[in-house]
Formats: sequence, C-alpha cells, structure tokens
Amino acid sequence: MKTAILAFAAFFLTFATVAQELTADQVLEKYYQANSFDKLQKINTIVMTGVIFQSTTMPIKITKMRPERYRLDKSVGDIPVSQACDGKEAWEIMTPWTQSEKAQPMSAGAALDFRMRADFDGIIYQWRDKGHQVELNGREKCRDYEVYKIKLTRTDSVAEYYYIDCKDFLLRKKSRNINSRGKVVLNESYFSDYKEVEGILFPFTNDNFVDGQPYSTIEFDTIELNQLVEVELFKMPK
Amino acid sequence: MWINRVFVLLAASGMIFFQLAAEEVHQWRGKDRSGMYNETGLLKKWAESGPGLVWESSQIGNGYGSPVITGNNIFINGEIDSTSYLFALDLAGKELWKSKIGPEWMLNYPGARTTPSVSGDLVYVTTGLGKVGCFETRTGRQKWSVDMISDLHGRNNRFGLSESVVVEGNSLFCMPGGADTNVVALDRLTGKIRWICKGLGQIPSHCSPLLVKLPQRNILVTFSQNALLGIDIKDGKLLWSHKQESVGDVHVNTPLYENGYIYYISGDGNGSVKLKLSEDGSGITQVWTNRRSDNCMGGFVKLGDYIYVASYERRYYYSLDANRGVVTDSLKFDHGTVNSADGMLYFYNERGQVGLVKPDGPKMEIVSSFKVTRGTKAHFAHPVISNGIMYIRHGQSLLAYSIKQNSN
Repeated sequence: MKTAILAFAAFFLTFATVAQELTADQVLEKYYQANSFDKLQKINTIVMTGVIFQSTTMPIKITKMRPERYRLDKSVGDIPVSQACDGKEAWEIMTPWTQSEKAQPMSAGAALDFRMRADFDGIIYQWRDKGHQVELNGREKCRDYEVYKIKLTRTDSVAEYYYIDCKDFLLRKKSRNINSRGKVVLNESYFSDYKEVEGILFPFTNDNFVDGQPYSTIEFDTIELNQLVEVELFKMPK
Repeated sequence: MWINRVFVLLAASGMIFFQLAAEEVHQWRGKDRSGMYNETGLLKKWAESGPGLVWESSQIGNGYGSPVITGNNIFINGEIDSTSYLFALDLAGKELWKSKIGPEWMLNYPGARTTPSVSGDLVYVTTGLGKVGCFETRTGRQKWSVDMISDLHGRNNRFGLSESVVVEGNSLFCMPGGADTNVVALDRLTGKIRWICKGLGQIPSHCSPLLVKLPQRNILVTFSQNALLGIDIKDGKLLWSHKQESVGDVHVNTPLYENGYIYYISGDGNGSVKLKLSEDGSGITQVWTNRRSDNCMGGFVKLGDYIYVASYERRYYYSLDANRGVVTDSLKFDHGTVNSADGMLYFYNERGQVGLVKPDGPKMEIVSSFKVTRGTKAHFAHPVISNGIMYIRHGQSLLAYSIKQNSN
C-alpha cells in the first residue's frame, strides 16, 4: 500500500513538473499548431469586415496581403479614416484630425509600429528569424483562463506580451505600452469568439482597453481568405 | 356700422389665433414626440428578407435627421457640399422642391442632424450651425430665418446644434444656448423674439424638447449642458431644473410626459429617471433613477407600465418597469433607436439591423429582422411610420418599406 502511494506520488509529481516546465518554444509550437499556422502559409490575403464600437458603432475593414501589406479602413465621427502599409511605406488619411482627405506618410515611430502590425503571420511567428527575442514569464490568470505569459521583445526594443491559453493554446490577450498623446499608457486586447474559417481559427471579437478602461470593441461579421485584392489598395494615393 | 367692422375684425383675429393654436404639428418622433405612431393593420411578422422596399430616394443630401410626413408630402433636410437643404417630396419619393437653408455642421458626423416641424402651411427646420428657417410647404420659399449664433448670441456644442424645434400656437421655441439668450421663443410667422429665458446659461445639449400641456401652463422640457430644464412657454420663466450628476454633456433623448410624470433617459447624465411633476407644473420630485439604462440618442417608448430602450454601453435593449425603475428583460440586438406602432416595437440598431419586436409587459421577443444595406454612413436616424410605410433615412438615402398587412 505504502509503495503504491509512493509510486502514485512520484508519478503525479513527475507529471506536474513536466506540465509546468514547457519552454517558451514549446508553448509557441503548440500555439502555432492550435492556430493552424501551417494552413495559414497557403493563405495570401485576408479580408475582415465588421464593426467597431467606440461610443457609437462604425464599420471597419482590415485587408491583409502576404508578406507585409495591411490596410485598416474605419470611420471616426462618421468620417472615413484609413491607415495602410505596402511593405515599404506606411501612410494614413486622418481627415477628422487633419481636415484633409490627402494621404500623409506616418511618422517614423508610427510607421515602424504599423509595419510590425502588417506582418501577415504576426511577428511572433518565426520570431527568431525576424530578430525578436522571446521569453516565458510563467503562468497567470486572464479572465476565465489560465494562460502562459510570453514576452516578445521586438527588434526596436518594444516589449509585447502574449497570453496563451494553457489548455487550448489560443491567444486570449495581448498587451503592451503605447504612446498616446505624449503619455505612456497600457494597451490590452482580449480575443474571443473564435470561429473556424476554412479550417483556421480566428477570433471574431476583440475588446480593447487603455489603462484598464474600455476603449473599443471590434466584432467581425466576415473573415474571407484568399479573396482577390489589388496591390494598389495598399499604396499611398498621390 | 363701425362696431360691426370691429366685431368682424375681432372675430377674424380670433379665428386666425384659434387656427394657429389648433394646427396639428407634424414633428420629430410623431405626436407628442413619444416615438409612437398611431397605425393599425401593420404586419406582425416580416419575410426573411424584410419588408418590401417600395422606393428609395438618394437625392436628399447627407444626414441623420428623420423625415416628417404630412398628408401628402415628406419633408427632410440633408447636406450637400457643406450646405444644408430642405427637401419636399411627394409620397412616391419624387422631389417637389429643394430650398437652401445654410451652411451645415461638418466637424464630426457631418450632415444634417435635425427633423423639420410642419405646422399648417409652414415648415421649420434648423442646421447644425444654428440657422432656423421657416419655409412655405407648397413652394419652398423661405419666409424668414434667424441665426441662433450670430442673431441670438448663441453658442455651439460638441456635435453641432441638433434641436428639432417645438412649434406651438404662434410660437416656435429654440435653444441658442447663450449665457443670457439661453432658450428663446420666436413668433413663428415672423421670426421675431417673443421672450428670452436665461435658463442656467449653459450650452445646448443636442436635445429636441418636449412640450407638456397642463391646465395651468404649458412647459417646454429640454436639456442644456448638464441639466433638464422646465420652462413656462407663456413668458419664458424657468420653473425648475434637474441637474445631471456627471460631466457628460450629450443629453439627446426627448423626455416623455404621462399622467403627471416626466421620464427621461440620458446615458451621459443620470441614466433613466422618473420625476413627479407637481400639478401646476412648477416643481419636480425625483421618483427613481437607473444608471444601467444609459441610452445616448436612440429614444425610448413607454407602453403600459414598461419603458423600452437600448442600453448604450452594454449594447442590449432593455425593458424597464416604469413604476419601480428596474430592468425586467434584456435583448441582445446591439444598440440603437426604439419606436412603436400597432402594438409592436421597432428597433433600428447602429449595425443597420431593423428588428420587429413583440413586447409582452416586462418581456420582449424579436419576431423578425432584416439589415438596411442601402444608403450611406452611420445608422442613426430614427425611423418614421406613416400610413403603413416605414421610412428609414440612412445617410443620403430615404428608404420607404411597406409594412402594411396584405402588402408583401
């Protein structure tokens, strides 16, 4: 009896230890599997349409093209706003603030940040090849989930945190500090309502908080893969 | 004899006055601005694709205001190239005339943001930059105009002046929002000032007022920057005010009066509130408040003992027990406007979905819904129901859907 108990305890401790000792690479490998990154390599464009709620509800559209083309179209005060990157140049049309419908290049800092966002698979995929650093910062609670906390330090030294579900390895949250009107604030994005699109899971809801306060919610109505998209869409209009 | 002439003159004046006083006013959110339309024989269920679209007019300029429907005409304002115009259409959507009002608000949510008010053969309309115009319904000829900012020392606010004016008898009421000229009564035939109310000296708060009619007095109930005001329309005396316990300044929804009580809902203010109005209208007492019910600009309706309204922050529609002020049911349908006709509720949310909802006291059940896919920009405008047609304004388009039974 005593032997059986000891054997069971040894087995349990071994299992628990192994479960706790996933490395950052192992966590990310499971994350890539859960999110079908192998299938994603066959996808060349993603078009996401829905609404963004930020006091009022406005339409939003995100268009992505491999490797690093990205375009965000939405409305602010019911006036169209666009931000885009063609892989080289990042530009924007911010009429509510500039009172102009002319496209302007983004500032250097904003452009670098936007080019990172334009990485089709996300900068955390094949992070080593991209020159970023990754470390596992243990586990913690994230809403109803227990998550692995992965710190990714970008090539520009900006730290991003990825909170990956310990059970199903879906991304539940991302966070980082951002510069907003001269002030450093904490930006947190929560991902939920995962649905399969052609065998790949995508979060259809994205809740954003700034310094702990609700900022916006994006809800996608459709996510379409490999739609025909013109490259011109991402180029800065003259 | 001279006395006969005097008598005839007096009689004629009395008839004119009586006629002015008795004119039906076609206005924002229907009779009494309650959001309820007196219709019968409407569909209790729609086809899966929604009710049939009878016509669309996409020549009405851009905006968020609702149309107003009279016996034979539709009046609506819209912005074209930064200028606001008043349009008259026939009931088939054909333009009868178009008249320039003045420059329109373009800073944010650009476009016309008010609904005309029609009394007799005159139609009154305002712009986001403060122009009040009076036009002949038949010809569109402008009879007079007043600029609330430059003529009445008014002040604008965050989202443009958004008041659909109240017309009563021989007066029109508007809120320039000046420190001294806060609320003003104009002679509706000439545009001349009848009285000025100093109010609390606050800027306007995007509200289209309510007129409460009591035996002793008629009261204009409206919001300024952070207070609900009750103003005697006879002389402009500020009777009472109800302060909002927040710093928000967007109090858009028209209040409601019923059986001695005023109901208002301001998501940027105190939430949902019930006030008891004294018998002579000179004072108010708070009965209850509910901050959870926090609608911003979609309006609300009261059917029996329940109020139906969308919650802004949580993006659900709620039913509220009007006696106790508690939420009794919620319906997941984003947030937006509420109207009622023929015992049903009509929800139009900011995602462009229109829901036909069966109210059953505390409960709500969505029966049918469809999506408005035509038109432009935000889905903010309140629908109007008249003679079996549901009119939805979506940006540059006015859409007429048939919702009469035996019509689809």
